[in-house]
Amino acid sequence: MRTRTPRLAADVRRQQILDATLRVVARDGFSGLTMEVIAKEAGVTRTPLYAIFGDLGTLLAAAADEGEARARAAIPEELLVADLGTARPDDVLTAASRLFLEAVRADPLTWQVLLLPAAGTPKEIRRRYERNRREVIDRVEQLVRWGLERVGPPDGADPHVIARMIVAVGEDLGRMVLAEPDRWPPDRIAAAVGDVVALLPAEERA
Amino acid sequence: MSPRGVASAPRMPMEERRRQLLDITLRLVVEEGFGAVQAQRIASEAGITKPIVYRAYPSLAALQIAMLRREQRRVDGVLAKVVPADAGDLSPRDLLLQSLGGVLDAAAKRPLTWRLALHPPEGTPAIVRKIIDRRRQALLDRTRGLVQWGLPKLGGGQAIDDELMARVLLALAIEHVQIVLDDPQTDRDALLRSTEAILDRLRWT
Repeated sequence: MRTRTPRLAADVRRQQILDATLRVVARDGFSGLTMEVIAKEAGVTRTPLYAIFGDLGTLLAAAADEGEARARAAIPEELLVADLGTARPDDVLTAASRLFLEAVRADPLTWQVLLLPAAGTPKEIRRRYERNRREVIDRVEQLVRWGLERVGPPDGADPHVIARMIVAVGEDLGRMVLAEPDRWPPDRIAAAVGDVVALLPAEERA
Repeated sequence: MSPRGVASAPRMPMEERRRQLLDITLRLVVEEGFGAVQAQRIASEAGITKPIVYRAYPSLAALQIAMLRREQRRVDGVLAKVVPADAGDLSPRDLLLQSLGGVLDAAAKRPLTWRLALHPPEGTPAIVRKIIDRRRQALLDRTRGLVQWGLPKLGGGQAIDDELMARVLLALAIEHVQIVLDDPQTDRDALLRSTEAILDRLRWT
């Protein structure tokens, strides 16, 4: 049997199609997205796309899963515990922002789709992004609570609001890295985050 | 189809009619995108006939442009006030809090205007996006000027990257507005208290 491309193991083929989908979405957005366009990008016929994913909706959902999985994998496990013990909150914030921005730099496709959702992003996918964002904010809020406890909470500071602000700034820094990677190297941003964090007097509680 | 036949729509002065049509267009665009701006839809939401729509605006494009201009003017008016070219006698702390408060009040008063500004809806013409980008850059430049003025008043602030700081402040302001848009019941003063608490922890000189 002759085929245009060499036969690949099913999971390799699947991965190849998901990568192609993320590339097309990052580049052209969702409008005009068809199985045909994705197949072309992946260098295959439409047949394997239908065989593996059934329809465009299912393929897009799988690509969104893939993007989320990659994004999650970039978050170090150490940050996923509720209590970071005796670590210094300012060190944690500086290190976390550097890790995040390096992840963005290393995998711009994944992060572009998440941080700069294209015009025409289907409602279900938008809702997923919003849900993910809420989860990230909850997670950051736990860290903020821990951090405020360590430094002595300023009167009136709301951990949820601070968490939203940290996430919003992080997202914007990520967008800056995506748009102008040479202008915003990780060192420049990490240095600025360090400088800002250093402004906050971090008196530890007795 | 004489306009007089529509009992529910008494004659309106043209200025008032235009305002009504702009309001409807704004809501449709924010809630459903530019594709929802259809003459029949607008006419029925206004309780009038299509010819009356076209008497106020010669085309749907003209109506959309007029709406975008009005909203842009509203946003610009607020931003000119809350991001002044010159801080005057205010301290950086007070200016920042006053600016955030001003933009939050504006967003609470006209949520649709600010939703449009923050999230250009589906189908926003490329030329409009370009204008938005240019205005955003101008706002960023003005913010940066204020950051350059404010940072030296902060113990340890001189060395801070002012270009990055300006971006950070805009991101913070936008997120403040987003909180109010997400939940109109948000207590503005309570929201500002977190920022205030952090600002008061800094060593101002």
